[in-house]
Amino acid sequence: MRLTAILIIAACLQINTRGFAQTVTLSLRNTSLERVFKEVKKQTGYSFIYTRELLAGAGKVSIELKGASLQQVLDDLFKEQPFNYSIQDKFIIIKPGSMPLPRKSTDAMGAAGNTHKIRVLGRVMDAGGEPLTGATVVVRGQGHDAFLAEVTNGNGQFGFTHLPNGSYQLEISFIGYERYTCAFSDTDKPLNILVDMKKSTSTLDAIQTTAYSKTSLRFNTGDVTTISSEEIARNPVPNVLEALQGRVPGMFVTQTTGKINGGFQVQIRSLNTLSAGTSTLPTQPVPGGQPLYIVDGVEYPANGPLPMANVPGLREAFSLGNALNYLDPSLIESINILKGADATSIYGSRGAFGVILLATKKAKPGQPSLTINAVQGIATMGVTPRLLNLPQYLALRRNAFANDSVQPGPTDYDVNGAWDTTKGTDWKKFFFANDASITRANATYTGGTANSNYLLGVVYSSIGDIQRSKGSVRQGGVNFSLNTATNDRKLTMALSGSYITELDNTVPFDFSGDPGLFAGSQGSTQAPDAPYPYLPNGQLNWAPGTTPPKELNLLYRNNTDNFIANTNLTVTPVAGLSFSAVGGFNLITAKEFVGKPSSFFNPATFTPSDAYSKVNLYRIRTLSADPRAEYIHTWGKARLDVIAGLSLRDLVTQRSVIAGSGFASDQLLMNPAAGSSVSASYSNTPQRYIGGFATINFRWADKYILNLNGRRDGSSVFGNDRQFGNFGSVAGAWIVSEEPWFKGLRGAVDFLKLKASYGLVGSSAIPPYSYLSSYVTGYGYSGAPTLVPQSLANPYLHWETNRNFEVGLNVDLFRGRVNVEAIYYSDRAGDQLVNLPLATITGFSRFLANSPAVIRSYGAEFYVSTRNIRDKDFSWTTRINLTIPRTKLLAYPGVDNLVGNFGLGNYTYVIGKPITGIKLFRYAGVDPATGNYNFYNAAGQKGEFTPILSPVTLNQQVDRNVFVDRAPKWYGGILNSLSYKNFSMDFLVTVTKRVGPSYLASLVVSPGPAFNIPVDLANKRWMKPGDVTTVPKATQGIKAFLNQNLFQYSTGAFSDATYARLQNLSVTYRLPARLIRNAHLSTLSVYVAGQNLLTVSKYGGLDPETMSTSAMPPLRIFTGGLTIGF
Amino acid sequence: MTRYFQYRIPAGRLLGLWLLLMALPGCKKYLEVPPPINTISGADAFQNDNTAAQAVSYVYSGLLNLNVFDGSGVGFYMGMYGDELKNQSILPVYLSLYGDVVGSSDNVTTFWTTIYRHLYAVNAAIEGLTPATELNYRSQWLGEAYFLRGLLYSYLTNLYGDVPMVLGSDYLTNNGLARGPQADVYQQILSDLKQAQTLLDNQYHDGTGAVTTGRGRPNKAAATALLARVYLYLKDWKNAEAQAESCIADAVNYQLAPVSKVFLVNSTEVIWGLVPYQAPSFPYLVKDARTYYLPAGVTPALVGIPATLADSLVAAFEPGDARYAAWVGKDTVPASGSAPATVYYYAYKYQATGTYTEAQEIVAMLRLAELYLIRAEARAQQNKLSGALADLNAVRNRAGLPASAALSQADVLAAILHERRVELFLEEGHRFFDLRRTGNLDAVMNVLAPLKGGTWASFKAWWPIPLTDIQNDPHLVQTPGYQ
Repeated sequence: MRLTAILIIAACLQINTRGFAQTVTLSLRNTSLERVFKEVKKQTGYSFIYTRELLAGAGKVSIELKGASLQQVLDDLFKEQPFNYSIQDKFIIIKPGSMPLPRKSTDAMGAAGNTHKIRVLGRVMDAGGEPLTGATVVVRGQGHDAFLAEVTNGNGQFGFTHLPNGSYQLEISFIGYERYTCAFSDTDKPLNILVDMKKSTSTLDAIQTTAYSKTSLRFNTGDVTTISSEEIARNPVPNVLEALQGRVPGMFVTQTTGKINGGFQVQIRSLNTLSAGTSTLPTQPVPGGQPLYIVDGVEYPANGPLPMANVPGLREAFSLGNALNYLDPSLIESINILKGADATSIYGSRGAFGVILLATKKAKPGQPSLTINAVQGIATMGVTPRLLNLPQYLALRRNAFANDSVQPGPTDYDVNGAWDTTKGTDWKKFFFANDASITRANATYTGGTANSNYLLGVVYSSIGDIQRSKGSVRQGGVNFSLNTATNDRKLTMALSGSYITELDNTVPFDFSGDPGLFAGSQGSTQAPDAPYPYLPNGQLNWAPGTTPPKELNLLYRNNTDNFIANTNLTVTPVAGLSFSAVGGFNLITAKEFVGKPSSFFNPATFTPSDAYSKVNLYRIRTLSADPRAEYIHTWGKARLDVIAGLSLRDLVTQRSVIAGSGFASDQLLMNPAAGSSVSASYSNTPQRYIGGFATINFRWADKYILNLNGRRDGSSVFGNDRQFGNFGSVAGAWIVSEEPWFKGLRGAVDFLKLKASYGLVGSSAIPPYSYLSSYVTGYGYSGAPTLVPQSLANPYLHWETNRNFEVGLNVDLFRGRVNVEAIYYSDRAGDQLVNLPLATITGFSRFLANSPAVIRSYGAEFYVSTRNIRDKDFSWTTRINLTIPRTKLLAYPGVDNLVGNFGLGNYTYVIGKPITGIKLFRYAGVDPATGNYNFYNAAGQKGEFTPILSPVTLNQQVDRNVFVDRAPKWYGGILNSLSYKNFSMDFLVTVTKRVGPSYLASLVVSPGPAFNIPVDLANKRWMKPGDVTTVPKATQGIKAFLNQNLFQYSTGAFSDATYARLQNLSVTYRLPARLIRNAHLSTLSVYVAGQNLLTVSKYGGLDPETMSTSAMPPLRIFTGGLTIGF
Repeated sequence: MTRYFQYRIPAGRLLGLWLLLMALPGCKKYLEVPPPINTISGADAFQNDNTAAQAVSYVYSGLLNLNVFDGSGVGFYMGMYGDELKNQSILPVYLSLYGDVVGSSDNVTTFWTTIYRHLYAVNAAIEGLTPATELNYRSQWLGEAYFLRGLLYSYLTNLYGDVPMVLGSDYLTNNGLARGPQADVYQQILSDLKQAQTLLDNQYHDGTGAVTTGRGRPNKAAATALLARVYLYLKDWKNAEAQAESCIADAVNYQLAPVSKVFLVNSTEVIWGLVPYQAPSFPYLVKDARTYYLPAGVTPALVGIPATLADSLVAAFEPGDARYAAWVGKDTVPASGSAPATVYYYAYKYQATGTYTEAQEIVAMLRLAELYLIRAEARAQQNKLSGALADLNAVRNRAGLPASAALSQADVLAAILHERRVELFLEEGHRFFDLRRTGNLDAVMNVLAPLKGGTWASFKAWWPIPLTDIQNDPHLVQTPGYQ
């Protein structure tokens, strides 16, 4: 890399050398062109740029000139040569020209007796008058397939001179635009062509953003799915990830809670890492390998939970959040999801789990315009199962006591007469409002000239809390973008940024309920006859046995600020060669305050030392710099695009927490440091990455494409010897439909591309400093602190490696009516970063290392778009995507010695099985005779096997012998877009096929104890001998707990959670153009949109996405809005 | 032309800047991040006296906190397994221990895991301290580390017999070690303790290195005392006598204390002890006090006390023994319903159960009475009976008992063994180890085990090791008899 730099510096120095003669004197006979070039350079300082191959076909020249201008020299020199030249600054660029080689080779253009009069000059611009740099201009001789090609310069200009007489076809192509063609022939005048390129509406030519470049589906060798801002705008959602659900093949997005500012899990393709660890929880497999997010070239910390406060005694309502909650979806121009080695290997060490590129809205030239968008709407609760009313509940409870043959005890307040059994409360209604209001608004002012344009915007949003609290989540922010360029467009600069600030003062607690605690339940699932939680004087009712919603009295404020800034500088010294540097900055800071005032506690037992408050300040800062050079060149039918550059990243996460307890008064609570007992902590975690990369894209005759990526990557998360790794990929595509023999099929098959790629990508999802042995502070000894060995050093830690192979095809059928993309991929992920077991004689029972475990993850992805109807008034398009992800654990040395959570064995990983499964007991149903769960042991015997109480119990190691995969079998989405005149409608239906733990299995104790359950469950319970049911008899004793624990880990716990969901529906009406013009507006449209509208599932009341009884299901959102453009 | 250059130059400069970035030297240097702030990396821990001392101090607090010694540590486990305690619990974990039926997944293997965990810290400290010549108190910390390694191996080999000798912190090497013969382990212990003797001085030091009166960190006398014990176990009577002698001779620092003051934090008898610290559960309390203590009138089951003193131990005290009065607690539970009145005896060596802001008592790991008994036994074995009796009687006199009437060598040895039983009861396994090293274990246990509801076999003299270790280290084999 350094050598290259020196060479380029040398070239630069030459440019700036001055004091050359303006005239040239030459006297050379029968010499090579190279010799002449050297002489000219000596005299003028102009350098020649050419390739050796080009000159190989040149003849010797003789030249005799005195005091001639450079122009004269060059014209004379190339008169008899098959070259064109152009002068760019102090470079003379030699290109293959149209001149036939006299008597030396076959006549490329076929014209004899040439007079070379044709000269074509042109300029290519987009619809807005912005010059298009880098467009490919091709001249084809009529009746021949020989090419002349050029790339437009910074001003969009191109030129061909000395074309032999004849007729020609001119083609201009640029990604994202429709191909422009025109014909010209013999003429004495120079031809000037001005082209305004039209944006392409074809799927094949839509722009796809790759790591450091742009391409189109037509020429892409890898996998990129692009979601545009128009599509995002139809989703009235607070987090843009929600708008991606069901739209992208190979991407599975799960919301962990319906609460605003909650967490998300994103799985791109199949899970291919073990680093998530063994999960013994019956619910979903722990997601591993979150994708890399990049906003405007800067890494964005959305791939992990935020360092949010963890307050003792509070259920984690946010699942630790997601950084994209703080980036308003309306700011996003496009999202590109990159999958597979060809697209991601350029990200080297961090691309293995996919890459999500987000681009924010940028300034565009044009008339100044102001667009205002305002949305008002409501959010309602997602569907939750209907719970028992008071009489039903009491019947269940009494049935439980009868079944156990015991009388209600002194603590069974709900049935022992302590509570009023005539007055029931619908707790769901108590805790959840009918709806929460949503307001969103944004305004954008943009315009400017081609060389200087601007964008300024403001955004605001406010979402109320669906839970019974006064809080809301309010966001406001500004964004800007400035672009400027020199007149010759050799230097362009761009600056863009956004700042968003949010205040969240909703209750950090989820009242959805926590079924299955012996001591009664809290939230929605508590006994319907539990006393009303407030006394007449407005204070909490702490009657015996109740758990009043004390969390409503919590003090909570979370201020989060998000600042993103980005600069881009591009220098294009000559057409085809550009240098650019992207610098980016992102800062997310938060101040989170949680306080437990005296009103949070039972006054009977409250002492001032109970009052508690905590402030959590965190800061995640990312800096990045990506200098790079790009060179595009065309020779005849060949097009070469080379990009090389450097990428630097600097991430710092800082966190400081102050927690205090014991406050003399609630007023002091706001300052945790005022507590009588204060603890503070501070952490600072830096991470750095550096990488050098190169990508070479070679295209031949728009038919054969070869794409090579390489990256050498270094990371500070690894030890000295293993910081660097090499990654790369090779990909090829063959556009079969460009073959001459394919012509006959045109009309039916308009486009057919086959592609294949193979590459190596890495991942390093481990905490920084894992390679060091470390000591942490432990309990003191004899008045002095101690240092406890915490981890073992492993200087050999290195990247997980992922060898990815894929094949795919793209077909365009029936003149663009049907477009199909199909991909099959197969990865082998090795060097897994996991904790390997050690004999404890080493001092530790495990150490973080690269296990030779191998996971094969494979699958198929399909994307079909059809244009069903398109006529003057009516159009209808459908887009369908389908993903079938699979994994298989091929090898895992030591898998039998693995220890899962709680020191139990490994129930997750079985050689030859998916890595997302779990080993379970075999369920034998509810015994019709006893009404209890029955199971089979490994020997095939059936019984209750109640732990502790039964003489024979089940063995966790031996009897959990049925393997169930918890990952989705397949998932997809169907998006229909219809438009009729000024109306347009879009609706998206998502479908997921999977299994999940049923509501019954989510209970910690089986039905009967003092908590509410769904009506459906209660109705199905066993009542008398002979009943064949799926729900056991009501019981409230110890067996309700013991056997439920077996059930949760049995095959009976899992039921079909397949669901279809009307994820999104939007209807827009655009006011007629005439009306708008009369009102002096540029656009005016009104629309309604809804999210998560309808779910069809056999899953049984529980939301099949969150699969949780204790987390809110995703919200249903209904909005109406207005867009006005001035 | 001038205008042309005006805008050319910034472009050229920017290009230059870009090129500088491209040629950025030292990619490796860029990746150098500052060390972690909340942890100290292994290599840095021994760069100064403070952190070096803290790394060693962890072993003391860890041995207490993780119940190797004190509380439900070796003393309690050996008491249950042997003949000192009587089980009062229905929990399976105590039933199997009391019934002498233990397996490779039982709690008896946690001592293996925990002691090796601390050996890692000790080995890392030895490796880190050996080259750290710039430290002011290097010899103190290093001496403590060698002392601790000797101590930990002496317990490992006393519990499990042949054990792998982990002498470095390299886990990849250690993960493949096989068990070493007990004789080799003892040689290592001797060498470590001699090393500790040369490194430590006669004074006590605190965690800053300053001289202190507190006896929470070992000094040279502690290494000597432990060496005496090890020689005794090795039946090297001469050396055992000599080492014990050198401790007993230091009458300025060490004297037998009145029985009521033996375990107090300023005891003159303790040569080295563990000082209870502000632990999360029982701040500044010796946990033994909580393990055995029975409030008057309640049954052990009611307060969750798993064991009381074995009848045979209570019976072993001679009438008038001051230790019986001072160290044995008595809880009389009146008759209720069908249950008759019952008297429970419990260990009451440690008595502080209140709330404190500093330690009241010290977990006596090495004390002078043991050294008198070591010297007595060593002398008796060498047939120096009068000297032996003098030492034995020193301990008896302190307990208010008359001189021993033993005459023959065998009688004197038997008297010493008996005296050890009542003097050192429930102190970190002495009784069980004594029975075994004197060849009396099978005889005692064959009688006792059926009474405890179990069975005895000779192989049970040593405990099994964790199954997971055998799975993870291909060279490790299970203790004979437990396969």
